[in-house]
Amino acid sequence: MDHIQQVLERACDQFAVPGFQKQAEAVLLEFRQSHQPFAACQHVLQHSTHQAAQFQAALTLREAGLREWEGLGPGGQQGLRQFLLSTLLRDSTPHGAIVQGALSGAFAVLLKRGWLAGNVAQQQAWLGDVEAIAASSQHLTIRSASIWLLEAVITEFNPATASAMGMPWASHEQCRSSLQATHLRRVALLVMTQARTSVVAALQGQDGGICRACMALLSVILSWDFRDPAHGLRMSPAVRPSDDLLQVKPGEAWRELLLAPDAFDWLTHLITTLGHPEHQQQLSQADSQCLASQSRNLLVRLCAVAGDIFPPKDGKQRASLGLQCQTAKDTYLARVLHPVLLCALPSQQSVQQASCGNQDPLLDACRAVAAAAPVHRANGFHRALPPGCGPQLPSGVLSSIAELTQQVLGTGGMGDDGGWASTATDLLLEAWSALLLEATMCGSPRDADLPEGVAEAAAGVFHALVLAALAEAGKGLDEDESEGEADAAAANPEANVSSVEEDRLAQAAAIGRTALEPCAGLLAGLIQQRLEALPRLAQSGQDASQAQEELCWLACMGAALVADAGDGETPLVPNAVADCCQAAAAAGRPDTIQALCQLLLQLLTLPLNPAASPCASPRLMEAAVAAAARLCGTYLMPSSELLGSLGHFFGSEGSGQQVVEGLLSSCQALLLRPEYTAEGALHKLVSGRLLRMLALCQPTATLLLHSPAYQGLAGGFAEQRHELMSLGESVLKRLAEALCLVAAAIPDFAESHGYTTSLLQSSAGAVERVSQLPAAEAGKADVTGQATILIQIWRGATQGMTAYSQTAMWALTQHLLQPLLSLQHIYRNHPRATCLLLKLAAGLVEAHISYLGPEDARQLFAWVLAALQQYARDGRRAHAGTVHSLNARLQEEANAEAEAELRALLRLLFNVTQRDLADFGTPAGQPGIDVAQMVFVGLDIVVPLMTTELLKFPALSVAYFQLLAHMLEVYPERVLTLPGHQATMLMNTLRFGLSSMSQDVLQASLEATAALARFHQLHTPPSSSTSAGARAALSTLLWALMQRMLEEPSGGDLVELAADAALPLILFCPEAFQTLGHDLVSSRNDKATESQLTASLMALSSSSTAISSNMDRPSRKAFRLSFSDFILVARSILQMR
Amino acid sequence: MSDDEHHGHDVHFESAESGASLTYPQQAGTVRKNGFLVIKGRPCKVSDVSTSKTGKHGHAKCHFVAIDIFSGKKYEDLTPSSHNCDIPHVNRQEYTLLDVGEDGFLSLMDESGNTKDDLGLPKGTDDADKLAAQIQSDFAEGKELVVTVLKAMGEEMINACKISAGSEK
Repeated sequence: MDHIQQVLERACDQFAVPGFQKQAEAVLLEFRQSHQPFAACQHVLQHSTHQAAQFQAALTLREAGLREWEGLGPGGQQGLRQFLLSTLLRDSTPHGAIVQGALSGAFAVLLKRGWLAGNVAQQQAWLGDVEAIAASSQHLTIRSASIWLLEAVITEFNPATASAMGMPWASHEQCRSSLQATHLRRVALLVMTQARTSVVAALQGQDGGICRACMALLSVILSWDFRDPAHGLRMSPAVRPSDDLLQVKPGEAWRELLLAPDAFDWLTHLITTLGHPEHQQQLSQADSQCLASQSRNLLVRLCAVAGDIFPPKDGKQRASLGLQCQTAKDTYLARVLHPVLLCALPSQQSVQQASCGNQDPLLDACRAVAAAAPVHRANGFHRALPPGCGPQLPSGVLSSIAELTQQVLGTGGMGDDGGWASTATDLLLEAWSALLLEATMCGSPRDADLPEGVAEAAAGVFHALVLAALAEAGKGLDEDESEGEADAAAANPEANVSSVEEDRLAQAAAIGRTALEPCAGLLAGLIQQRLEALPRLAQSGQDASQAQEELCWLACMGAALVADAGDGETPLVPNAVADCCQAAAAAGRPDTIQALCQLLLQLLTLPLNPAASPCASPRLMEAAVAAAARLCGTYLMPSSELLGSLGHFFGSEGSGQQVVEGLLSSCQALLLRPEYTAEGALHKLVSGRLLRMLALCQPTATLLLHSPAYQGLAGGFAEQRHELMSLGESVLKRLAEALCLVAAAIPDFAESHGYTTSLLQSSAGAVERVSQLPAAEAGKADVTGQATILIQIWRGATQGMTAYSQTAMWALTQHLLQPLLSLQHIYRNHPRATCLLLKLAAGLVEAHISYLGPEDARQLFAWVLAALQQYARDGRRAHAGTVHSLNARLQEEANAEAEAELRALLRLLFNVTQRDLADFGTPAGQPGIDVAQMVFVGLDIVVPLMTTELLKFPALSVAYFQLLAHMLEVYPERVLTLPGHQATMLMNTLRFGLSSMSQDVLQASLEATAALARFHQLHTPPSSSTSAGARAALSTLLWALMQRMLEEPSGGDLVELAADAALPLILFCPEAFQTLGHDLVSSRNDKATESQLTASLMALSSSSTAISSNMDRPSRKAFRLSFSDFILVARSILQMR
Repeated sequence: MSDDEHHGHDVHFESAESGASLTYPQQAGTVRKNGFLVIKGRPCKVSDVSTSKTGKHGHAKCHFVAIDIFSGKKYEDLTPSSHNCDIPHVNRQEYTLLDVGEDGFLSLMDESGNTKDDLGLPKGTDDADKLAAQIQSDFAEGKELVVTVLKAMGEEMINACKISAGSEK
C-alpha cells in the first residue's frame, strides 16, 4: 500500500511539471480506472499528507464506487460510506477544503446510487445521522463539515446540478421527489436554526465557519427545482421563459418556515452589522467580505421566492387562513429586498465604489431587484417599501431603483464591453421591464394601474438611457464595420440588429411606454434636431457620421417604442399607445405619437431630398427601412378606429394611400439609385422586409396595386429590365416573392390570374430560351449567371405563391418542367446551378403537392422522377470518393457543394412524402401515385453518393436519417420487399446510424428501427417466406443497437428510445438475443462479473417474455425500466478493466 | 487594391482565342462564394467573401479570398461592391484517357469520339504532380480513366481524374 501511495504522490508532483505531465496523467488515469482501488484509496486518505494525492484518491473512490457498485455487495457499500463519513466528520481533520469537498461529493453520489438501488430506508437513516450530527455535535468543525456534507447531498439530488451517473431522467426525478418529500424542509429548518445561533459568533470570527456553511446550504436549497409532488410536470404557464428559470417556488408547505416574521432576522442583523465600519475591525477583511457576499447571495435567492408560498388572492381562502394576502407577500419582500438594496444606496456612492473595483454589492442589489421584479411587479414594490418607509428610501423603493439605474447608465452602461456597468444595466433594464410588464403588455387588462410616481421614475430612466445610448453611438464611428456584424447579418439578412440589441430595445420600450408621451416627445425632438442638421452638414461637407449613427439608434428605438416586433404574428397596437392617442384626441392637443411616426417615415425620404441625400448612408437607410416596416406592420390600415389622428394618418380613409406611395418611392430609390448600387444588405431589407410586409397585408397590397410607383416596379420586373435584373440573385428572389404575394389581394380571380401570369411570363420564356441554347453557349459564365438569376426568381415566386394564386402558378410551372430538365442537363457541371435547380424542384413540390388533382400530381411526380433519373444519368457526384482532384482545398469545397446538392435531393424526397397528407385515394380505374416507390428510387440514387466524407456534414446525415425514419414508420412493409441490393443498402445505413455519435442521427435511427421491428413483430407470421430475411436483417440491427448502447454514453431519453426499439427486436429475434447474451457473458473471464451479467440479462429477458405480444403501453413502460437497469449494470461491468 | 491594377491584365490572353471574350464584367457585390473571379490576371475560384463598410456609414466593399484554379495559389482582393469584376468563362469537359505518351502528353477522347492530343500531364505544383502520378499509376494498372479538363482564359489543364464507372465492376 505504501508503494501505491508513493507512486500516486510522485505522479501528482510530476503532473505539475510540463515535461512529465503526459506520463503522470497516464498513471493517474490508470489508478482511477483500476479494479477495486478502495483499499488503496483509503490508505492514501488516512496516511498521506499530500493534498493532491488525497484529492486523487477521493475522486477515484467516487468513480470506482459508482462503477463497481453492484460488485461491492451490501457489506462493501456500507463500509465505503462508513469510511467516507468517519473521515469527513473527524474532530481534527487533516484534509484541506478541496479534499473535503471531493469526499463530500463522493459520499453524496454513493448515497444517491444506493437510493436508486431501492434501499431508501437505509439511505434515509444515513442522512438522518448526518442531520443529527449537524444539529447537536459539540465540535464546531464537525458541525460545519456535516453542513457542507448536506450541501453536497442536496446539490447532487437536484437534477439541475446532479452529476451524470448514466441514469435515465426518471431515476434522477425519483430521487428529487423523494428527497423533497422527506428531507428538504427538515434540513432547511435545521440549518436556519443553526445559522441563527451562530450568527453572533460569526461576527466575531468564532463560529468555525458554520454560518457560512449554513448560508451556502440555504442558497442551494433555494435553487432546488421545486415541483408539486402531485404533478410530475409543472402546470402553471410562465409569462416568459426566463421568469421560470429565476424563480423558486417552494409551495404552500414552506409558508410557515420562510414567511415567519423572524425567519431571517439573523440575516438582516448579519448584513447590517457587516455594513457598519466599526464591526469590521473584529473580522479580517477577507472573512467579512466573504460573509457579506454569501449573505447577499442568499438574499438574492430569497428575493426570487414565488408561487403558492404566498397566501392566495382569493378572499375566501385568505379569510380561512386568517392571513392578509398582500400584506404577507409585501412584508416578505420588504424583509428580503431592503437589506440587500441598502448595500447599494446611496446610489452615487455605490457607483463610485464600483468604479474603484468593488462592484459586488451593487451587482447583488441589481440581481435582487431583477429576481423580485417578475414576482412582485411595480405595485408590490411600491406597497412593500412606499415613500417615507426609511431614512435611506425617502421617496420609496421605485424612485431609488430609478436613481440607481440613472447613475449606472451615466457611467457607460449602454456599452457592450461586458464590464460591471453593462451587466448592471442588463439586470436593471430586465427588472424594469418586468416591473412594468402588467401595464405595458399588449392586450393585458387595463386595471393594473401603476402606483403614483412610477411614470415619472420611468421617464427619468428612459431619458438617461437615451442619453447613454447616444453617447455610446458616437464611439468607434471611423472603424470599419467588423466581420462579425456582417456575418450575423448574413445569417439573417432581414434582421438589421442583433438579438441582444433587440432585447435591450424591447426593455427600453417597456420602460418608455409607461410614460409614453414624454418619451415619444423626447425621441421626436432628438430626431427632428438631427434631421435638420443633416442638410447643413451635407452642404458644408462636414463629417455627418455622428448624427447618422445617432439617427440609426433613434430610428430603432422609436420603432420599438411605438410598435412591437410581431415576430411572425400580427402585431397589435400597444395599450399604452392606444391610451395615449385617445387622451391626446380627447384633450384636443397634437398627437406626439403621430409626430414621432411621421419623423420616422421621413427618415426614409432622405434619399429623395437632394439637400440631405449625401447623408442618407446605406447603414442609416437600413435602420430607416426596418423602422418603417415595423411601424407599417402595426399601424398601416389598422382595423380598429380607436387611434384618433394616428389612425387617420395611417388609415385608408386618411393619408394611408400617400404613406404607401411615399414608401414605394423610397423603395424604388433605394433599389435603383446608383449610390446604393450593390448594397446587398439594404436591398434585401427593402425587398425581403418592407415590400414583403406591404404585400402580405391585404389592405396595403390592394393599395399597392393602384400605386403608380408599384406598377412601375412590377412592370420593370415583368419586363426583366436591366436595372432590376442587376440587383443580385438573392435580392431578386425576395422581390419575386413579395410581388407574387400581392396576387392574393386582387379580388377578381381572372384578374389575379392575369397579374401572376404577366409578372412571370417573360422569366418563364427566358428559362425556355436558355434551355434551348447550345451547351457551349449556355455554359458561358454570363449565361450561367443569368440562368441562376432566373432559377432564383422562380424559387422566390414559388415561395410567394398562395392558395389563391396556385392555379396561375401551376399553369406557368407546367410549361417550365421540360425546360428545367434541360437546364439540369446543361448545367450538370455547374454545382451552384445544379443545387439551385434541385432546391427549386423541392420548392415546387412543396408548394404545389397538396393542391394538385390526381392528373396534375402524376405529371409532377413523373417530372420529379425524370429529374432524379437525369441526376443519376448525368453522373453528378458519381464515385465522388474516387475522384482525385488537383487541389485539396478545392476538393473540400467540392465536398461542400456535393453535400448541398444531396441535402436538396433529400428535401425534395421529403416533400414528395407530403403527398400522403393530401392524397385521399385516387378514383377507381386510374393508376394511383406510389409515393413510397418514388422515394425509394430517390434513395437508391442518393445513398451511393453519400460518402463517408459527406456524412461528416451533420445536417446531411440528420436529414437522411429523418427521411429514413419517416419512410420506415409509414411504409415498413415496403422495405424488405425492395430489390435485394436496395434493402441491404438501407439496412446497412440504418446500422451505420445506430452507431452514430450524433444524438439527432441516433434518435432518428432508433425511431426507424423501432418502427420496422414493431411492424414485423406484429404483422410477420414466423413461418412466412419473408420472415427469415427479416429476422436476419433485424438481428444485425439488434447487435448494432446493443453495441452502441453498451459501449458509448448516451442520455436518458435515448435509453428510453432504445428500449422501444429493443423490445420488438428481442421479441422477434429471440435467438439473436440469446447469442448476444452468451457472447457478452463469455467475454468476461471473471466469475463474479459473469454471474452479475447473467443475472441482469435474465431479468431483462424475463421482463420481455412477460410482455404480451401486442406491446401495449404499460408493458412497454415496464420494459423501459428493466432495459435501462440492464444498460446501467452491463455498461458499468464492461467499462471495468 | 486600386481598381486600375485590377483591370487591364487580360490583354496578354486576349490573343489566345479567336476573338471571343475570355471574361465578362459582373458587379463585385454579386460574386458569391464558390464563384469564379479574375484576380491579378489569374482565373480563380472564390473560397471566401466577406463584406464590410468603410467606416460605419460608408459604402460596402467586398473582400475576396480566391484560389487560382490552375496553380492552387491563393489570392486576395478588396474592391467596392458596386465596381465590376472580371469573371472568367470557365469550361469543364470530361475526356476518356486513351494513352499516356512517353513525353508526358496524353491522348484523350471526348464523348462524341473526337480525339485531343495536345495536353500534357498536370505539373507545376505538388498537388499537380500527385495527380499526374495517380493518373500514370492508374493507367498502368489498366483502369479506364475519365479526366476532367478545365479551360479558362486561354489556358487548359487536367484538374481531376476518376475511374470510369464501367471499369470498376
